[in-house]
Amino acid sequence: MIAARAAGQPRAAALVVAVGAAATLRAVIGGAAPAASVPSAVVFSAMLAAAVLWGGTRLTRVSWRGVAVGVGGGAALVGLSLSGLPAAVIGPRAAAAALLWWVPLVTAIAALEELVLRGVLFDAVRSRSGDGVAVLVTAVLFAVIHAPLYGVQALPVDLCVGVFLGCLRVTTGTVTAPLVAHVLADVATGWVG
Amino acid sequence: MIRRHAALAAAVGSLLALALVRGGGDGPPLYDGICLPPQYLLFGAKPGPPSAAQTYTASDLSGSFELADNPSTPQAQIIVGSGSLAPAPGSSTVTLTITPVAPPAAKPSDGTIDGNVYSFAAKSGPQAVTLAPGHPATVVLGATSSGGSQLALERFDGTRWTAVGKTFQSGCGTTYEAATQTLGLFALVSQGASSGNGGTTAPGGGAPVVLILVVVLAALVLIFGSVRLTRRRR
Repeated sequence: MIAARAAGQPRAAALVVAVGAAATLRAVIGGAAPAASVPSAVVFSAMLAAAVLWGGTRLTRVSWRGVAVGVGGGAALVGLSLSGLPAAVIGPRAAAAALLWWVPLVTAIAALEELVLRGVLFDAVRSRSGDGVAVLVTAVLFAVIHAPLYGVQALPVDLCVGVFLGCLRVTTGTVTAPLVAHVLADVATGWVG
Repeated sequence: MIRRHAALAAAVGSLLALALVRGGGDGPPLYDGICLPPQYLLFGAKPGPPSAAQTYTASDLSGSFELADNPSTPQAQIIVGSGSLAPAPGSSTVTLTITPVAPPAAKPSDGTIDGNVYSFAAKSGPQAVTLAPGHPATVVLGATSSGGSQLALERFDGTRWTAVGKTFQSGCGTTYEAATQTLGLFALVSQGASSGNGGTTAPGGGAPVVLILVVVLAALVLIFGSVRLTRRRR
């Protein structure tokens, strides 16, 4: 326990730096419109995957309770996102053919973000400082790495989403719930909203 | 068990906070992922781009409003501020229209037209209405592709195309906007490398945000480092 706590802090710092570097590189490669850049998204995903592998997340642990909670959490986020829109504008935003590459890429980004933030980083921070700090640190980082994509005005929104996903992690005890919720929210609101 | 209940309560609280912060559908995108490029509808194709028309009363015109050809994935949009338009004498309404039209024979001298040419017009009864001096409207046009080329919003004055001030890139990088004092025919023009007019400014994701990101991350690393150092000394 003591050894785990001692090891948690440098690991957490290294993960924060890795995620920050990935987000910075994504912003730089993406140029004027980083949120629309596929190459920068691929590089970002690759760097997150490297962080996940280095952090040693337990990919084999899939909790069905976590899946159920994640579906519920994702539905709440999607409902909240679409609730402000008039019914007439809710519908497919692009040709179905675009989904062949878009859905796998968006799924990979969302899943890898969760495996790093609410997975290995959450574990590292929690081992030292507890659940509350882990939720806050991962939520702040989640909000900050999205600022280059959507501007600083998105910080409060993404901070709330980060806290919500962190709470799902604490409630279920696994990364499965926030992962499922995040993937559902990204895919559904990105394509339909 | 108490910890999980507290986390559940915090999750509900964060959802409520999210609803308050977001405040409707006009906020920034909620999540990560990459923007899905919208399907661009070209003039003359099937299905073609839609038109839009809306009539505004004097009370509508006292506030700001916007009109889009398609509310979900607009290709053409106009944002009009309060006091920009007024009904003509003898009329009580103004009708604003957005119509995709065939491109005029005259080509832009500084590049090629990207996508459709749109006519933005305002009429009060049979009479054309102009924007009030000092009250420009913002014209927003979607592009056929994102990134790579520099696009500028240009207006056709009947004889030639000219850039409409500074063009700003917005949304997912596929829409461009500029303020104009005159309605008429507008299009996005792919700028040549040597072109000096127009030009595009990136949306919120430019260098300042990257700088903020770097500063915040550096601060986090410093906090982690100093806490660790303090605990080692103890």
